[in-house]
Amino acid sequence: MAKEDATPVLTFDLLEDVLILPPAKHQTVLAQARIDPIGPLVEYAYHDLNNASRRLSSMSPSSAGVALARSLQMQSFHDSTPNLLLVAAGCEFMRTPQNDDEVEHSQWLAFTRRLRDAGVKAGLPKKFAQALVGTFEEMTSNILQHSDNSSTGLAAYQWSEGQFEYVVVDAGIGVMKSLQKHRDYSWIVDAGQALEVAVRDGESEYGRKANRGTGFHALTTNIALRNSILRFRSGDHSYTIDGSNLPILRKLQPCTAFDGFLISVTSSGAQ
Amino acid sequence: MTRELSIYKLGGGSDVLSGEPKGRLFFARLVSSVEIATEPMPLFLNFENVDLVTSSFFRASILPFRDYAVGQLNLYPVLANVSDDTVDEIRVVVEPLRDAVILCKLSPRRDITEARLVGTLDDKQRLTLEAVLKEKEADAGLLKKRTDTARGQRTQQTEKISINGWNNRLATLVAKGLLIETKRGRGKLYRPVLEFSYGR
Repeated sequence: MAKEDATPVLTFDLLEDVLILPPAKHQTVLAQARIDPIGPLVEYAYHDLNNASRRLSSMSPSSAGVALARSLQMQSFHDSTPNLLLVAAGCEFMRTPQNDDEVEHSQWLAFTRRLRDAGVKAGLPKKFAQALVGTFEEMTSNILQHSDNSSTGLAAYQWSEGQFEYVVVDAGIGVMKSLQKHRDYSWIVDAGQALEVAVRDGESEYGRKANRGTGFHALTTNIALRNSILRFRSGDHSYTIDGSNLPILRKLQPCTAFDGFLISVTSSGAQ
Repeated sequence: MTRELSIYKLGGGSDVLSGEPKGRLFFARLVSSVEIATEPMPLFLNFENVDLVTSSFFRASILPFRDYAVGQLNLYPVLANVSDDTVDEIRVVVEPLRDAVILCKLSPRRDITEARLVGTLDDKQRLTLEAVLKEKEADAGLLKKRTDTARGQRTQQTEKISINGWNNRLATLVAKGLLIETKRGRGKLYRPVLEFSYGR
């Protein structure tokens, strides 16, 4: 009988448990946790972006961890060339566009195409993979528009048979401060409220009447309906839309502090 | 005579158009792709091969271009061959604004079918649009005459609308690209951009 692998996998829940511990004890757990989904890996690095390399090197070795550390050393996607071995293995990290012109740069467009192709290779219907790309580009655009620190933006995807995941993250001002720029949202006092407004209601720092939301509202629900889990992390809260079972579950949860904004989308394909 | 632009070609062959920054760049590309028309006419924005246009992209590109084309170029954009997913995204943008756009199917032989309006208009604009659709072509005077006659036939009190009131309503529908305005003598005539049905 095959021996069951008892190595814990680094999940968002495990990461949250670890982050409650004193920093000196993080390594004890994380050095043993297997890196599988890239979302928790990226979130851990962005918890302390200035020390991300040190943090990543203390984790259990993984090609994704090495690639993430390398990407974080790049100033922009112009500095990077795709790591073909890693792309072939189904994983890629890339700095996000830092100005309007870069959103149409061939290097970025090629990355978004590889991301979509990865979704198709994972077994997602082409139309659904396109919807994922649409949401992905909305999310990376939001870094440009709302983060106030687009140079910290990073995007990544990973796929395997029947599983597709992408992450978009920045170390900017976070959702609460972004919304608070507009007087419509002066009532928002914590990141949980901010996440609910931005994700559930699809609103943004331009105010309610501007009709310029984050682009999340309709697309995220459509994606969740296709056996997907979306996680939004900013400040001291996370907001999860879990469509892995119907009806969709929406959960707002207090967490440890996190500067910036992270979005993780994991999809197992159409239901 | 009609004009047509391929959104797919203009988007560099991308089947997903998303994000506000890309939308802003696309708006500039749209503007530089068309010239002013000597007489008012529809401009078909053909979405063939484009599977998804997100709300942010639409808000930053197609909607402002519609305003620009109507106001500056004598062109009235009609969105052709739009995917169902994109229609959902368009609704997200136009409905809160109480705005609307015209959609249709455009065949390779340029036959127009299934023309319809997507979005929401307030009651006054909706009634005005329906009145012009019924008349095929009208001016404020004709619409006033028709409604005054109808009022006279009804027992219940309805709002009396002045010529100025009708002109304002018609001008609003022109600005939204739903009616074409032409000059006739010192007056203005209005007609639908296309024969389309109101509603979903």
